[in-house]
Amino acid sequence: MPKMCNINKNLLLDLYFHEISGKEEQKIRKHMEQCSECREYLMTLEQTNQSLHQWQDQSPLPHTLELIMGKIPEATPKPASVNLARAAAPFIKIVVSILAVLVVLVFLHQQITRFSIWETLQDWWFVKLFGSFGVTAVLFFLLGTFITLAFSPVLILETQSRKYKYYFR
Amino acid sequence: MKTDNQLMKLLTAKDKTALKELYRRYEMQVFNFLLRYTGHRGIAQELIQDTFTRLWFAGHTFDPKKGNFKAWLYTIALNLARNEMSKKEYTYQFLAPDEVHNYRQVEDDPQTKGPDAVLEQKEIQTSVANALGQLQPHLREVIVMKNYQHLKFKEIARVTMTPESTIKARYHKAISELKKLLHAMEVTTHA
Repeated sequence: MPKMCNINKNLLLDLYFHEISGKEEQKIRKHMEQCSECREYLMTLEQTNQSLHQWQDQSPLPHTLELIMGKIPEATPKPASVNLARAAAPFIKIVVSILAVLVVLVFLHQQITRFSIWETLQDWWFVKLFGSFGVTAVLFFLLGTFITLAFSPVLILETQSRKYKYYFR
Repeated sequence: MKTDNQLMKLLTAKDKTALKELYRRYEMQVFNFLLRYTGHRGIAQELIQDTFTRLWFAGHTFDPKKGNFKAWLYTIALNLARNEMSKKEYTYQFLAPDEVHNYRQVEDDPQTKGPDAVLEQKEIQTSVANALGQLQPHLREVIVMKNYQHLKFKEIARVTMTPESTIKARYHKAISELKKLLHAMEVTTHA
């Protein structure tokens, strides 16, 4: 049984298509003097290349350029004008979001301060430090985190099921 | 004579003569690439128009620092061809030049070759096209770009946005499959 050649066949491609450095070329040519497997592979490349070149070049239709020029507008197109509404949309969204959060916070603050327990909480160092509005903000943040965590298993399961649906389609 | 990059600068300034010059330079290469990749003259004819139309409209996106013009042009042509082949009920069906009116084959002159030789040539050509058509598109595109368009492996990697090692692996696979297919079709070389 002949010994399998362990040379990287990509080097033979580089040699055949003249994409190899002089040093590497010398090395591989020396190897090929003793390796019939590599010589055979190079022969395959040559024969396949010659067979492929039996399919000769053809020309496109003579009037192709006229057809292309017909698709190009006569006048140079004007540069696209800047759409202010579209450009400002992300900033408007951010401002609206901040305002919405502030409205919810004010509403929550009003509700929380109505409870009688609030009177006792007034002396707590945390309330003294951040004020009643700060405490409301922290409560709002905790509430948001709780809702996200509560719904996360549902969201994860939904994403996974979609993923598998895609894989097994 | 202006270089491709100089012509691209003019094209970006909407100079139509630059587009005409680029078309004259690359019409054969792009058309034959599309023809051999898609196997359809009609589709290749449509796609060459789309390629140069897109060149006109997207010329400003060409950056000579990222690669040469030829590779960029092939990227446009390949993307259009892939898109076309994916959206239609498409089969690789090559017809010899005389079966389609108006198409001219280069070096195909019965006066110099003789009618039998021309006929034999066309049969071999159809067999080669059929063999190419049986390759998977990602293998065929490598063969077409390497053996017919003479792009370097690095350039093919850039055009297809695939690592060079993958391109070479695809080339080995394509050659192995083509060898079997051409042998089965008894396509011999005159070497």
